Amino acid sequence: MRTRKVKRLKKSMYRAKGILAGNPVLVYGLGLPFAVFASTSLKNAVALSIAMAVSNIPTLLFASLIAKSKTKIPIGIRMASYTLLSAFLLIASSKLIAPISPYIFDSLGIYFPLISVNTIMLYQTQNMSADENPVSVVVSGIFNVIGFSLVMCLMGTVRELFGRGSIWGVEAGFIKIKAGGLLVSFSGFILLGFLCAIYKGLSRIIKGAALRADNRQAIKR
Amino acid sequence: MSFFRDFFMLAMSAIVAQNLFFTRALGTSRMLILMRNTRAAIRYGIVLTWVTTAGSVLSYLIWKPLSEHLTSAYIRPILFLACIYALFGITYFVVKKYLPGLFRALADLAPSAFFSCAALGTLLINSYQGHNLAKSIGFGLGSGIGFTCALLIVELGLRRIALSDVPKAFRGLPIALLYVGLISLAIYGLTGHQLPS
Repeated sequence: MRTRKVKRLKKSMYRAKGILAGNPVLVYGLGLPFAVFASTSLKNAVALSIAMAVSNIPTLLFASLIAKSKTKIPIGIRMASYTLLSAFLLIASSKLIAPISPYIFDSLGIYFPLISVNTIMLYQTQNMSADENPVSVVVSGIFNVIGFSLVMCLMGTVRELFGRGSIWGVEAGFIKIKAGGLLVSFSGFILLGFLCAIYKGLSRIIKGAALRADNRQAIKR
Repeated sequence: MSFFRDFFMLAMSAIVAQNLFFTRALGTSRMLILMRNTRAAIRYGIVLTWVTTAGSVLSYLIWKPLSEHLTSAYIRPILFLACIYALFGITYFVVKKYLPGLFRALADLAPSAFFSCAALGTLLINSYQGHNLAKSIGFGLGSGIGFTCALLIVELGLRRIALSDVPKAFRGLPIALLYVGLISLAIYGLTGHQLPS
C-alpha cells in the first residue's frame, strides 16, 4: 500500500522506458562515443539521430525475427549480420541526412559509419529473448532512439550555443562569451556526466516525493 | 629504417596523444561492463589489440589497390566491416581448433571486441589519415594497447573513488564520465593543444 504511488509511477514510465527510466545514454551508458564526441552541434545531433533511427529499427526487427525462429546461429555470425544490415541501411539514411548541410558528412567524420556498430542496437539484440514479440521489440527500439535523440539534441544545443554562439548555424546574438572548450571531447564527457547526475538526482527527488505523498495518504487513512 | 620510425611514432601517438578512449571516446560504452573486472578488461584489450593490428594490415592491403577505383564514400566502411568479418571467421576457427582453452576464455568477449566502435574506428582513422603500411600497423597496435591501458586506468581510478564519499546523484555513470573527462582534459593539455577561441 505504501509504495502504490511509486509503483503507478514506475508502470507509467515503463511504457516509455527508453525515453526516461531506461534512457540508453543517461542510464545504461550506451552510444557514448556519439553523445560525447559527435554532439558538437544541433545539426550533427539531428543527423546522427536520423541515422540511428533508420539503421536501428529495421535491424532490431530482423534480429527479433531471427530470435523468434529459434535457429541456433552463433552469436558472432548474428552480430556480423546485424552490423552488415545496419551498414547498408546507413547508405539509405545518408539520403535523408544530406539536405541538413552540405558539410554534414565532413562534420560527422568517422562517427557516421560507426553507427553500424553502435552499442544501443548491439546491446538490445544481445539481450533479446525468443519469446519477445517483434512489435514490442520495434516499439522499445523506437523509444530508445527517441531517448538517444533527446540527449543528443540537448548536448548539441548546449555545446553549439555556448561553444559557437549559434543554434542550427544561426548566430545567437544574446551569447556574448563563447567557450570554445565545449566543442572538445573532454567537455563532452564532463557535460554528459553532469547531465547524468542531474537526471539521477531529479528521478530520486520525484520518486522520493511520490513515496512521501503515498505515506501521508496511508497515515491519514 | 623509416618503416620502424613510422611504426614507433604512430604506436606511441596512438597510445597517448590519439588514445581512442580518451580523445575520441571510442569504446567508452564497454567501460561500464568491463570496469568491474580487471581480468575481463585485459582479455578484452588483448582481443581488441589483435583486431586493430591485424585488421589494419588487412584493410590497408585491400583498400590500397581499390582506393583509386572506388570513389563512393559508402563502400569503405562496408569493406572494412568485411575485413573484420574475415578476421573474426579466421580467428574463430583457428582458435577453436588449435587453442580450445583460449577459445573458452574468450568466447564471451570476442564478438563484442570484434564488432565494436574501437575496432572499426581504428580502421577508418587509418584510412582517412592516409597512413602507409608501417603507420597502419603502428596505429593499430598502439590503439589496442592504449585502449587496454585506458580501461585499467579508469578501473583503478573508479575503485579508489568508490572508497570516497561521492554525492548520491553522482555515483555510478556520472562520476565515471567526469573522471574520464578529467583524464581526457589532461591528455589534451599534455599533447600541447590549446582550447579553440
